[in-house]
Amino acid sequence: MRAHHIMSRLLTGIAAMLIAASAAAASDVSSAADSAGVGTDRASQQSARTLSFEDLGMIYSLKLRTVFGQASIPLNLRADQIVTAATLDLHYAHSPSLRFDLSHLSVYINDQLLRTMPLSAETASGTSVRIPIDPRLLLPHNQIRFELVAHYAKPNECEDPAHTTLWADIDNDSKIELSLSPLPGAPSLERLPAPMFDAGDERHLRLPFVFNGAPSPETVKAAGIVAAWFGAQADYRGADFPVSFGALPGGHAVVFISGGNPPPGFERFAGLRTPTVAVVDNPTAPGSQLLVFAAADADGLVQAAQALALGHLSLQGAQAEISSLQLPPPRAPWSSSRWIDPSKPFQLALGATGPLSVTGLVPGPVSFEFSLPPDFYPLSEDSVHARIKYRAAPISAVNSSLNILLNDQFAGGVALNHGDDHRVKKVDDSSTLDVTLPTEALRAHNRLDAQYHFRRDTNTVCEDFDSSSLQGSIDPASTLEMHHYAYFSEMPALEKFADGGFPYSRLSDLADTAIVLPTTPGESDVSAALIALGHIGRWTRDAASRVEVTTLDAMDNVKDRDLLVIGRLDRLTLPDDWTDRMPLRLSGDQLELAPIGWLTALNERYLFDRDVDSARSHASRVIVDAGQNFAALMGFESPLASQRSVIMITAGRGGDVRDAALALTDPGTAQFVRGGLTLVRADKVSGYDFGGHYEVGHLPWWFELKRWLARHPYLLWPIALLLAILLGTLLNVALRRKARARLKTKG
Amino acid sequence: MRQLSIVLILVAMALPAYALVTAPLSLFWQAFTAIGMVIAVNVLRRLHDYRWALAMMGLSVLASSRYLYWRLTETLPLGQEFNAWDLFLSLGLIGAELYAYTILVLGFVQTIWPLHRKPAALPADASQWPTVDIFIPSYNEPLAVVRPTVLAALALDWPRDKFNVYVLDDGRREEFRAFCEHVGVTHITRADNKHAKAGNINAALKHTRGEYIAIFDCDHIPVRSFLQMTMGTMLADREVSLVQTPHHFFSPDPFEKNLNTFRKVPNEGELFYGLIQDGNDFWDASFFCGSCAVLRRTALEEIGGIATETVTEDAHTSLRMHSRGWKSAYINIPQAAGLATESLSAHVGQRIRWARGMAQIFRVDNPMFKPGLNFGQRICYSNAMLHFFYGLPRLIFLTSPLAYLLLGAEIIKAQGWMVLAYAAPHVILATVTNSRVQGPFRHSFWAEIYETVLATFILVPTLLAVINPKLGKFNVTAKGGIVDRDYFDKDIARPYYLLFSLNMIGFAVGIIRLLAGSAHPDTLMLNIGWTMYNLLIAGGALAVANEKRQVRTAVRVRTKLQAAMRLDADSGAYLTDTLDVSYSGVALQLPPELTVATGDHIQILLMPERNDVWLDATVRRNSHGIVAAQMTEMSIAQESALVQALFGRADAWIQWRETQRSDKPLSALLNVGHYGLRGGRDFFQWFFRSVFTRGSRGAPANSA
Repeated sequence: MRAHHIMSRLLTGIAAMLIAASAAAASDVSSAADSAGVGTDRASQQSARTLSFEDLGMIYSLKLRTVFGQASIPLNLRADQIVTAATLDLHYAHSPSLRFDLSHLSVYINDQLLRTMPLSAETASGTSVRIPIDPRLLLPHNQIRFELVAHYAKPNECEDPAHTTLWADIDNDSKIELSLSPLPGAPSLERLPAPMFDAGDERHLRLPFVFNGAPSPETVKAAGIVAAWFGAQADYRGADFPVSFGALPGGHAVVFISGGNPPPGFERFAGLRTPTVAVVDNPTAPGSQLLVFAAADADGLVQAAQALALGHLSLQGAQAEISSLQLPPPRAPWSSSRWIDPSKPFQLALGATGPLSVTGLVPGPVSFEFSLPPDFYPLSEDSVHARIKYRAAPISAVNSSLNILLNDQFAGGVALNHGDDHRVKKVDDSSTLDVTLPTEALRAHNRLDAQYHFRRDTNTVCEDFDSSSLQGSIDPASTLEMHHYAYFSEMPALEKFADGGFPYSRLSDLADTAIVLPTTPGESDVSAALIALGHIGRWTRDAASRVEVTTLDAMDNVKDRDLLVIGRLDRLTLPDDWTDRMPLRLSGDQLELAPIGWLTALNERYLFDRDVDSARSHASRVIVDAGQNFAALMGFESPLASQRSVIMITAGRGGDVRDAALALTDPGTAQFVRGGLTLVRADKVSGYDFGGHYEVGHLPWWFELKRWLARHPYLLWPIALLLAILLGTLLNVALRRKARARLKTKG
Repeated sequence: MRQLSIVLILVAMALPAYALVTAPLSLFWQAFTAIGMVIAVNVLRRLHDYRWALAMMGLSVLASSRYLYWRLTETLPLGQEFNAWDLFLSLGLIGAELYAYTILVLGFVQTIWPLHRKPAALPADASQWPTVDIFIPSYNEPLAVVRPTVLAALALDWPRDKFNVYVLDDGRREEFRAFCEHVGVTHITRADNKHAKAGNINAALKHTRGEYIAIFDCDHIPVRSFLQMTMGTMLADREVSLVQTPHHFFSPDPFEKNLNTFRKVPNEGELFYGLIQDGNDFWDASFFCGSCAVLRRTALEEIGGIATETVTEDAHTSLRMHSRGWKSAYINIPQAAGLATESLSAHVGQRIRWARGMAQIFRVDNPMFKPGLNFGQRICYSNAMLHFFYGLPRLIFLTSPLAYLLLGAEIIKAQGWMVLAYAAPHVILATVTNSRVQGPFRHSFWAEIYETVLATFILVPTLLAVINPKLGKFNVTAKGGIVDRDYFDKDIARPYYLLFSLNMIGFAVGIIRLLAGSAHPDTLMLNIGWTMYNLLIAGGALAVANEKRQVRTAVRVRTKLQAAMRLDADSGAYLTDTLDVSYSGVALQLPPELTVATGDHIQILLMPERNDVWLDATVRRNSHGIVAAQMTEMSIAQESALVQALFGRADAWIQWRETQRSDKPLSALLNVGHYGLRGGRDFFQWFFRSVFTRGSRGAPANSA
């Protein structure tokens, strides 16, 4: 359910180019006060937390409509904390035109009635009420439900149950205030990924990684595998992995120890012969725990990380040793469970986010989510079909309808017409609605809503009417079908990296991915690498067991992979064939945007309707304003291999590469990551497409031809003319010869 | 090997061609492409070398394919917002367009390389020349029509002992027998008239023994070089079963007569005999046209004589000989000439027969599947037959815009400008290319008039013949003979009234809708423009139906011939030139030495260098040094001499086309438009006169 709300937040396009990154983090009293004190509330002493309804996913106020309106929101809690006190601070308003003696608003938690508020003329314009909640009612996963019973007529009078005056709105700045107490558990592998990550915590995951000294690339690889695994767990929440080369932070953390020189307090991990994974109490912060990877060398750490990510660890006790590890066979492209397989129909029910059946006059949508490979390339307008099998109660009036929306864009619908004779209608089988989905609305992660709109028969206002008999369902046999497609993508497309982890996510074991760090990586470089891998892991949902990590000077070993290069511009010394391709580069001390040929500019403007010049001037203005104080993402074709991509997570001299990586993990900022260059300055993100494209993947030859012509429309008639002249010349020769042969008389 | 490489090259070119045809473009770029193509084709048509004409055909096929691909994939009214009625109308139009496209492409293939075959030389030793039977079948034609043909046949340049002339008289008339006996040709009759002309020839075949059969319709008068021109080809290649020559007409057909375009605009037949048969010859697919041809007896006997299953026995006979591996040849030099059909109704009747016959062959011996034919022959025969199915498509084109204007049907699901951007290069390139290829033989847009006149009449016979070859026998009353007054042929013109009136209504409704404001003015204007064009074409058909009086009873041939003139057998003769000659009279330059008065008897010797038979004549007019004289009673020898001078000269018809204007598509459009307007005016005059003078039949119309 939560994912659904994040999606809708993401999809409800905020038009502004620049956006404040405020979406996912709930305000947290203790951690807000001390940003370095990561997760102190998650352990140790008593703490308080306030969650607004907005934090819980309600981007708008809850709207209760009709004589009996209902709405609910989820409330999940961490497993390592216990609630000692809870209060619901409710803000609401309602229609002033109700019969107040018959109208009221009720609040339930987990189906237990908390309170019923009578509605009155005084409360109509807005009021607030504080409702204490008995903490014993709270479970790890809870549901808060609101029910509005509203009437405007006397009991025996005619009333339209869907009358517009029947409304109440619950403000989304209503809050739940929780007092929490830690619930410490003994260190145990069984609970992994908890307590480092707790599914009940809807906030951005923030998990420090600690190394004893500057890590080798192999060690970073081990950390990266772990980060990708946590990224997959955190999923839509996003994950941040701060890195420390020594000091142990308070709160939960992941620690990597190799060699015989462990930091103080970890002496028992010295001299291990077999790689070991363990959960131990954090010696510096009681109540919080550390996930420790220890091995004699970096290879052992990688092995331990792979064992964890692949689920090969025996999760018993507080410590496990990995004696040997067999990697699974290499993954086929897009074989991860994240992606649906376009070659066969996808059962929509597998992606359902809620019940497939809805009731009431104004029901919510039946929603489905599905992820398509980011380089899924439809070859025709009607490549993607949704075959929705539905059943709607026959009582609904003629102008009721079922609409299908893809990512909030209307895609199709059907009038629920059960025949002309209202009296004898019957629904005993599902009907099918075949909708061609608008391919331009497709992205990596999609939501398909089947929205019933029921109407009453207005001719019979006073007829006894039970709105709960208005029901509709979507058959689990409904499918999504894809035909005529290819795997192809026009690059650079940072938006596909932000939304889909492309191109790295193609092989879910990251066998085509290499992380390239500066020759001497710093803490923030490694952190950015881990955040990026966490982001990719979110999309692959698989162990990053074959990822490579290397440094700039050893890049040739990974030249046939897609590269993710991390480091500040001034710390990356790159050959000319690299800088030539970079949309933004350092020339001496100066930053400069790569120049664009006039032909490219003309093409972009007149064929693709893209104003490259003004994009460039906007970008240079942002850069000038920022000084060197910015981070950036850029994408270009790898100078080392064709069809391979480079994405660079970088920054100006005064910027932090972590900011660029973090921009990917927040749906609020990620939506602005696009094109070939994305600039991140404080919390403002802006993406630019400067042309200069390259392509990855393959199209069928016939489509390639067509596409080439469509991109060079001015060449169509000259080519036709050339072809005709060629044909004419050839025919002229061949036909003359044939005519001569025919006229040659036989002796 | 060479063929393989050509195939490979063509396949390699097919890929980019496919991409060009299917690439979707926005309105702007499609318009850009359209303009580019139109400019390119207009540059190409100015280039002389034939390879550029071939390139134009390629470009035209690309443009038309692109249009049709777009029509088929983007514009059919499929989907929930359209009803079955829209779809039905739309399928009619797309069917008609597919037909037109097929005919266009097949036509390009058929005429891709007109062979321009030259006559082959005969052996120097005339004793080696073979014997030829000359068949002149007749059924009900008057003797006066047959006489010159027989006399001209007797005068052929061929050893007299090596050819025999046979009049195949299915009318079994005594008059004919007597004439034949008198001039010394064989009169052949049979007991019944089974299978008409085909049966007549087959019956005669049993009575004769010549190696070759030359066949002339009884009104096709051969020139004396006919056998010399054709037999060489027969002797040079023993596999040739047929040598065909053009059918030439020295009198105007109804179109030429009623529109006054005789010898100015190529007539309907010229495309076929001037270009298509020559193109067929390239593919070894020239076919027999029933007359003015020589056939090889062995070939004919191998297939059991002239085919009798269909009413176009000629083409069917050729098809059979071709499928047995026999070759054919076409010599594009007029070697015979005859009278064209006099009236429109007779013309229509003849074309119905052709159309029906071709449809019958299509049904019983379809050239696409008949074994033994090569690729080119299949294409040529199929096109010849498919061509006669233009009835329905033509009517659809003439009424399609009405579906939108009157019925509001959305038959093309596209915006008007888009339709224009796609259709304009299709139509313009096809027109310009055809003008380049067919220009000397068919002026642009005239096919529309020729087809429109016939469309309604051949529609049902062709369709019925396809359903069952025995169905579809229709007789249009042949009014026949001389059109002795101007009249409006209402019976024939009825469909043109209807088409003209409907388009008039559509036009008016369209203008009203445009003035009233429309959501899609571009679509509306497109349909109004189309309707205006249809009005011109329907008007042209009406103008053809307005029969003009034929002035002379005997056809005159305006020819300058050498002649001699004297007052009587004893006086001195003086050389002079003729101005025009006809069967009944002659106009000459009066030699300065002579003085004659009206009513004087004179004697005239035509072509003194090869003739010594003096003709007797009476002076009818004499002014400004020009004498017009009427022939008096002629002996057979005198008549023969006149026939030889008039029709039998080897070069009689060769310079015939020199007075024609060359084709320019735009001026041809103006020309057609002019006749269209005239037809429209005639129609309104007739209409108002009929309304105001009730009961009047066949209102006379002014001759322009």
